[in-house]
Amino acid sequence: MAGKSKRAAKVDEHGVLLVAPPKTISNKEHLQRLNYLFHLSTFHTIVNDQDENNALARMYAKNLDLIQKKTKSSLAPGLKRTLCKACQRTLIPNRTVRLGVLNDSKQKTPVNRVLVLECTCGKTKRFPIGKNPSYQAHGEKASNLFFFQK
Amino acid sequence: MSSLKEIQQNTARRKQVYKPILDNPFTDEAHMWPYVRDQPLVAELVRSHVIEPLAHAHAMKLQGTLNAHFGFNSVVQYLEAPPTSDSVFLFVCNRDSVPSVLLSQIPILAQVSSCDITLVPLPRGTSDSLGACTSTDHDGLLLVVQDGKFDPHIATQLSAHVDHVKEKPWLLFSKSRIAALSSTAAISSKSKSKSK
Repeated sequence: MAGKSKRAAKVDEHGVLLVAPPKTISNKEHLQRLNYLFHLSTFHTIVNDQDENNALARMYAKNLDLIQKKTKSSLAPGLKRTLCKACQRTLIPNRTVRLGVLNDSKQKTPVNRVLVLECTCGKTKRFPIGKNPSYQAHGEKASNLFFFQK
Repeated sequence: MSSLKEIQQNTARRKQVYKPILDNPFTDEAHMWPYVRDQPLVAELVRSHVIEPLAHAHAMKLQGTLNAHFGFNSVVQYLEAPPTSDSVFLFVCNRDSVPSVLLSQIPILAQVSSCDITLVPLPRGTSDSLGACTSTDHDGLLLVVQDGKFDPHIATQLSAHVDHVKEKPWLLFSKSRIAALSSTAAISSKSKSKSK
């Protein structure tokens, strides 16, 4: 071992051993397959506006959900927000989702403002936006993400 | 006697781990908003010909200077069912502290809407000056209808300096946006004892 220079590992102030980001991804094919299914689902939701039930688009989104669970792949919060958990519709404004900012408080204080996304099926997603307007989830912060492909 | 670095390494309780994650191909922050070629000129045009007349009208309680809509609800309502076929300018303060979940809906809504929209991202700090134009919550959004009240020369200048929104991105297949999400995990006692 005398010939090899061992690089000292870095530890930050919180006692976390810092590791360099990986250069390759394992199971990239699963993620590419999920991306393709999401494309198909979005395409059929927007283009095929005659079908009120969005049957084909929902089938693709359901497949996406099943494969994601089966392969234990992770989806970014921005992608998960565009899928309805109840009916598997892709939430596209003016097509399958109604948008609105509500304030149910009596005094109408800005802290209590909530963004509501109401799917065609009636299921709602509520995002409290008043308390911390600059809030970002852990998976949305640019400092936590290292992109492989752009 | 051990060094400070060795003490730190021995006290490490967690390690950094990376997990592959798939991002939304249509809400790519870098390509979602149109590119503004001359940002200072556009900011000055918007300030002098849109925000100042609206702020003056609001202060003097005048009506009818510009056909403007403030706030998320009002803008969405207009874009979902535009009452006229006039083209519109949508000014967005995407650099200010406007909730990202709110802003992420706007480019898709602009692409899906039936009216001709020019999205104009505004520089940081414009959100405060928008507050002088209205007494309601504006959410960093201002929609101005290009009718007879809006100067056509200014409209031409704005359109010339702002790229149009990429039309129908869902018709083109884009590569998957795969990222490694950084997180931490506990160092197991087994691996620690092995390294010792």
